[in-house]
Amino acid sequence: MTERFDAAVIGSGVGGLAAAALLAKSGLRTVLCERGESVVGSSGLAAFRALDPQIVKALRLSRRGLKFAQRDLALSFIRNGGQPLALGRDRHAVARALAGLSQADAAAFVVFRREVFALSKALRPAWWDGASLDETASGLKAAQRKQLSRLAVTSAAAWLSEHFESDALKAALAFDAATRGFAPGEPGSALALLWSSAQEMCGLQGAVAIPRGGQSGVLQALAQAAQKHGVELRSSATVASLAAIGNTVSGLELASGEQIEATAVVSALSRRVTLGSLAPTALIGIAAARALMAETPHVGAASLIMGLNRSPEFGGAASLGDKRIVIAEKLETYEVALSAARLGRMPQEPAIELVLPPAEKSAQQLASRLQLHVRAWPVPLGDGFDRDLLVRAVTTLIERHVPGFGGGVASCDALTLDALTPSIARLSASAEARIATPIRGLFVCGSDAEPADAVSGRAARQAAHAAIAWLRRGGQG
Amino acid sequence: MAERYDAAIIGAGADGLVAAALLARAGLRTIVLERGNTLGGRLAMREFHPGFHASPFAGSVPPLPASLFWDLELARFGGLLAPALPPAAVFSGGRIAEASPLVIDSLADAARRRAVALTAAAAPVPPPHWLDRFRPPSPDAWPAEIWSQRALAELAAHDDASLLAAVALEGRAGDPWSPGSALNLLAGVEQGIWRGGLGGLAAALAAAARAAGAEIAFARDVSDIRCEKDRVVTLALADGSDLAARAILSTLDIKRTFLSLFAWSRFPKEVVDRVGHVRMAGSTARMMVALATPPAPLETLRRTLYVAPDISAFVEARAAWRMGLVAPRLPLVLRVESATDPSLAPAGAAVLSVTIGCVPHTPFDGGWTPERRDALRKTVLASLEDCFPGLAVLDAQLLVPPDIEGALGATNGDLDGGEIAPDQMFALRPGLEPRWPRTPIHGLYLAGPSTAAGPLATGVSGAIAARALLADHRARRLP
Repeated sequence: MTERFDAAVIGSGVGGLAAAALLAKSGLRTVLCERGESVVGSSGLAAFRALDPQIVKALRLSRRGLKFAQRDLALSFIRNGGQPLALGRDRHAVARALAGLSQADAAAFVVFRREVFALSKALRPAWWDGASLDETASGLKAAQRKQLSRLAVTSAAAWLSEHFESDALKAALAFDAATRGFAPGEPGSALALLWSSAQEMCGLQGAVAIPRGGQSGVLQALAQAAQKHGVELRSSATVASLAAIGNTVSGLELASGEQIEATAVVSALSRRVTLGSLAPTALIGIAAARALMAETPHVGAASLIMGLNRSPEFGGAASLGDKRIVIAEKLETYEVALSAARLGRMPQEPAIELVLPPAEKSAQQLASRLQLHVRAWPVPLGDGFDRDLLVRAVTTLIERHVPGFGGGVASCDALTLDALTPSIARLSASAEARIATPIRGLFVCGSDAEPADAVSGRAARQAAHAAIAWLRRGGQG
Repeated sequence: MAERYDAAIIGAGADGLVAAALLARAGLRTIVLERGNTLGGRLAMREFHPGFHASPFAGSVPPLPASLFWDLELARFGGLLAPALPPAAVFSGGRIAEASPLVIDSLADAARRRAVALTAAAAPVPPPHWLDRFRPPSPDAWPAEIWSQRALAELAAHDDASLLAAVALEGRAGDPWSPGSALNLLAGVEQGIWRGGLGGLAAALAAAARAAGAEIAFARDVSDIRCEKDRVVTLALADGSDLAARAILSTLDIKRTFLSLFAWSRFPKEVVDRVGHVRMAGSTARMMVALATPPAPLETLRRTLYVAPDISAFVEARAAWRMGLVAPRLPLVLRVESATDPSLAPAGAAVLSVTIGCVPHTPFDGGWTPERRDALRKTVLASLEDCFPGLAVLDAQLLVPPDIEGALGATNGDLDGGEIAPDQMFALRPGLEPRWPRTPIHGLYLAGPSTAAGPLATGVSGAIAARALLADHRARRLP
């Protein structure tokens, strides 16, 4: 049996749902195939790092139930036994708080924030319209252009060390590079860090927010928008391969044997999976297929949701409130953990970030009311991953600051693994280059189609627009 | 006060000797001030056991461009090079796996292509002696693709991946999986073995410099440079004497030059900060081994041998290095120079020099105690014994990074003059970009490993600095 659509989308998630909704909204007959049982998914980490404001607006997500429980989680770290020190938006307040740690760092923080603000402001156009770094830089003043070109190949560790002396502060600030898949000691991570402050989340630049209902809350709003615009949502539909005529995509084949014809295909899976395992190798070329596989060994991040009996007390503070706490002792912690993960072993001391979302009453909630959301980086993906070891490592790390924490853990409710694929070339490429594939009519918008790994939907918007333009040209040219 | 020199060169290494030859030949009164008593800096040779000669500091140096070889008439002064044979990996029990010449060619080619792309983006045809025309590429160019090459990604296409990673890293604590690690390939192509070892090259360069009229003075340790109104005036020597010079050419690394020869207050804060933030990555120890007999057929020993078990060993050794530890398995590079030049060892014997990678400059819990040195020596000897069972060791001398720092003045024992990383290479390297080889102090020129050409070629940064000095001399910009 064969069905005909204008556009087919592979995978749900923020990217897939957003792309499908935008395609359908422009009047195209669109189908979305999701492998899982539900297009929304049941759980996910609460904290959200980036969501394209244009998607929120175009799909009217705020009318479809998208609300935020916390809009601006401040990156925080714990000084020995003390209260968490929040690196919030008011840089002078932060400087006062940092003065107790180091006078030099307090002064440097103001300078650093100003530098980051100026540079990320320069990057903003690239964030909105997907211009390449080259194009973006050509419009800048010489000094800024030079600085940006240096940061593009600098490591976050080197950049932070140029400003700060305190290990704990540097390690905390470096965490956002790791969330984007870049080891803070590796070249390119400085630019990744800059990207994370250039992105937008619920109207605030560089914010991390908690949507109501966590990630599922965002997905539900997106699914509602997709349904409203007439997307055919198919769950339990695993895509087995892409079909193509010549080097132009012609549709999908599902694992059930069903054929779906489509003039354009948007994949919300990673480029590696889309081209490496769904597309016919003959179309990709052996050299390109080999290059895809020759990427970094599989290392990523893990998200854990721990159900707690009692609220953890960080330095006497009962609630984390509007903070996200990073536990990473120093910059070397990241490097040593990365070496272990690359060798396929669970690191003893990964860098972790803790978020305690406000308790919610809803049917979606898991057993315990109090949940600690933990993001850990790096972990080996595949055979080397060991859930028990990770939970033990995370518990030990938290216990350094919250004695007796382990006793309050009732369960470890959920776990998700994300493959993060760092690439310097991607950081500076244009959006067009990131979403295009060697197969005409096929576009990718997985998290690796962003400059640095992030859930944002921005690549989905760009991929949807590219697919719409492709269809308007009649699937040619 | 003694008479004034036109140019004083700090350090009698390759860069210093090349600069001395070029300056003296142009008629400048030139003196080379060497702290130690031997020629050559890292090219130095030592008779570490009666009849056995080896280079204590370096196993090999980056290539000397052919044009410098001919310009300085090194052949006339005894410089003679046996071209390098393809490297080989050596495994437990002495099994040798040679890299095919094809692979090495493509490796050299890839390195050259990349260097040409970076240095001569404007030139459609690669220049014949690209290093001669070396100019740091403009920072406006975004060579992201080039920067981000991973050595491993580059090498994964070959079956000898771990050997080639070893060749590229040559004792550096690099991570083959890191973006930018392919930059190591630029310096990793070996030219060959000089007659008389690296010391043979040093002797030829010194002879060329002396023939041109340069003076080479030993045991002259420059402790301070005195300035007047941002212009160099005199060099104060550690023995209390002074030496006046119109221009000074330093071949020390950037940190040593700026932070130990001058009072910090002399420079604007940005300069001190920028120099202070240059990352040094001392990670290499050396061992000179006197052997009663060659451990394998001479034909095999003429190659550079890499003890390169697998890429994961690199990653593990590097992680240990980062934490100030010594990993149980270390990457080793073995050279039996006496197999090519028999004069380096007594008849029938052999001299082996080992470059030991991923050895921390400072162990995490303190210094290099005799026990710790002994442990490292045993680790290395065990590794050698594993490769060549029954190795007849007469003597083995070990130098750890602080020894190299002490002898050569290389900060952290880093002979590259700064970690090889994309943000510290080419135009971003010296940190004083627009003026290099000139510096914020008039009359001071920076050559040596920390400059843009430093880790890529031997002698080139000395030549570049000498040419700048000469141009200023001819334009009467020197006092």
